Amino acid sequence: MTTIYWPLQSNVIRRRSVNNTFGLVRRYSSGMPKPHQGWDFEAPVQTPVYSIAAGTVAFVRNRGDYGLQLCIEFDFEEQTLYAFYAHLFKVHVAEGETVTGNQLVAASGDSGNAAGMAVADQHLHFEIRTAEQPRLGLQDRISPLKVFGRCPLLQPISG
Amino acid sequence: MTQSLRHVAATPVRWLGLCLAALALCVGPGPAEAGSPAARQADAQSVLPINLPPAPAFDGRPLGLTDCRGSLDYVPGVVLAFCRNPGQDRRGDQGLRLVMVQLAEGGARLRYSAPEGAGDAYSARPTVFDLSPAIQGRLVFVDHAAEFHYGTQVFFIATAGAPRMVGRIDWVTPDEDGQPASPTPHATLTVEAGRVLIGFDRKLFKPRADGSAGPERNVRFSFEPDKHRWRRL
Repeated sequence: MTTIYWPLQSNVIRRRSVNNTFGLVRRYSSGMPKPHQGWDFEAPVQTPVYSIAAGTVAFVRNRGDYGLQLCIEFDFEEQTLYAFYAHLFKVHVAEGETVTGNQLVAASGDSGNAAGMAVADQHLHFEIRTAEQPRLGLQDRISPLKVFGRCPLLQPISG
Repeated sequence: MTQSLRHVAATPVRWLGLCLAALALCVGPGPAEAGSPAARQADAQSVLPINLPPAPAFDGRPLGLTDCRGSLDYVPGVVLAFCRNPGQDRRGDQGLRLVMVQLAEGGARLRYSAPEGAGDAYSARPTVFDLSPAIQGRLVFVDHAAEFHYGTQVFFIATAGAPRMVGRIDWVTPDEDGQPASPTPHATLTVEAGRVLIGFDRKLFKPRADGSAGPERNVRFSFEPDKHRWRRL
């Protein structure tokens, strides 16, 4: 059985808002729902980031709206999943490297389109993917709730 | 060669130029030629984005604005920025919106605050197209995003005027990972017969409500500044 760890020392959803959890939780200005593919954890720039499980680094890359990204492949309940971290400041591991659960793997940041945010909005964007390269929207992503078992929406959970 | 010699040498060339110009004025294009595709093509003016300097010292708080970011020196004494404006919102839309602020010694004055924010988007990135000399004004494309592109608001700012929101582009293009990205870097603008034509160097798609991709299309818009009319072609 895979042991799951939290990605930060203190884990809470950004602004304690359901809009920053998984699913059709966001809104265009028209009011139309918009998907959010993961959880946004509050994380001032350079907060230490940890691997949520033992696994292998699927990729590290720096591009697009997600900025500096890290993806770790791991097994969970007989399924291969991918823990995806975005907007990072620095990554301490390399592609193909084996990581242990709760290993320091990165520092959070404001790369990609998270640049210039107020400190209260700086965050770690975190996804659980069922495919390394997911399709659009919510496809090939699942709620992190299925892996963590609970969501730190209102109260921080220690990692 | 001295200045006077240079002047003498250039004179015949100038006279030749003047004669050719006069001939062109007298003859002019025929009625059929004036509206021909070739003539329109020759009249079309390509528009490229311009860079505006940042205005890092701008503080919107005395005006009741919060969370301001991306402020730019639009023209001397006038700042464009993206802020939340709690005093304006009536529908609970606290999203980032374009504001224009006039700076003055007696205090800044809010000249414009866009009629709608951008929902949950946490970033706003402007691209400014100067339409002069054909049209006295600028088009500003504002890309909103949170993780992924949310859509583009389009504003027209007549010279010495305040912005006016004239349209939006709800279409996106896939980035190198296949995720929805702004089409603005792929926009091609031309001014032709007093209107702005907006095209893209690739097909775009509209995300469905669940975020999946709708069908790809060649998307074009036009903007008529005199009527403030934005429409899809």
